[in-house]
Amino acid sequence: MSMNEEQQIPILSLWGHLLVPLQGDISDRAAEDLVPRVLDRVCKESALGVIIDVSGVWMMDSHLCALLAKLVQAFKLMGAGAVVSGLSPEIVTTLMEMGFELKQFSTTLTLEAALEPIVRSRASSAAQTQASNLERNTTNDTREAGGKNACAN
Amino acid sequence: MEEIRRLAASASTPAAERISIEAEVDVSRARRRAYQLAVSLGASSFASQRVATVTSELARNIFSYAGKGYIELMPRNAGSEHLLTVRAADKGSGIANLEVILSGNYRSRSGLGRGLLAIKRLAKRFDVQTTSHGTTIEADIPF
Repeated sequence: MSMNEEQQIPILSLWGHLLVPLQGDISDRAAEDLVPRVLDRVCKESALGVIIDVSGVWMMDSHLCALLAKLVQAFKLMGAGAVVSGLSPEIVTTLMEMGFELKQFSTTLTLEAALEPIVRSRASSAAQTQASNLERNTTNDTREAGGKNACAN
Repeated sequence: MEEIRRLAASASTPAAERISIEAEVDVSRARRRAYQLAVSLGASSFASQRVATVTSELARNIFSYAGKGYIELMPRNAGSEHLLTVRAADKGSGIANLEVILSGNYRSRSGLGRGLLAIKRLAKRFDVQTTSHGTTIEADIPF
């Protein structure tokens, strides 16, 4: 069966970032196929960062863990931030018992927590744009009002 | 009476299961079955995760380095302790540098050393028999 016939891991564009939701049982082939696909998308979309959500993954062995580490390292080299969200207590415990250091991973407990700074940053930038537009409109109104006054005078 | 005792013993210790490993999909099948078996035996979610992870590492080693072989899942009781022994057997060319791998000083691009060391750390007992004609690995996971 080719990778196209298999279920490919989705890569979603989200406000200048990429979201990679890993779900269920991740085959070695699907995981290895993900690396060039997501790096290509980071490059093409000039993504600011990547969120890899693993809350739907039921098991992570050394192969998948090493692959995630490789991805995170590659994102950093490309200048994109990376966050791994939703590691379960069972997965974290097992990885630590196996001797894997997770220091290179920026993690959040949930996907919501990973999205929060992006949403906040967007809200702040939207507020700034709105304030800037309002200021511009006010200035224009004043100018127009000043103009009228000048005309009136 | 002996018959009743034998039946009771067989009921308390489920029979071993064998899973053939010949394709990548068998690696997924083996780890899923190991997890289901551990859960059905009353293992905690943490112990079931260990069982599935060890099975996944062993099954991948068979597929990646020997091509084919099998995994056996053997529930057993050792005194008051419940164990699930995961056995992996293949007829590959054996594991070179086993001692170096298990010492933790081996760095391989293929990931063989990483997987074996991970199994050793997760298992209560870890045994490797390897020759140029094949390898058998056993790992006991308590639950």
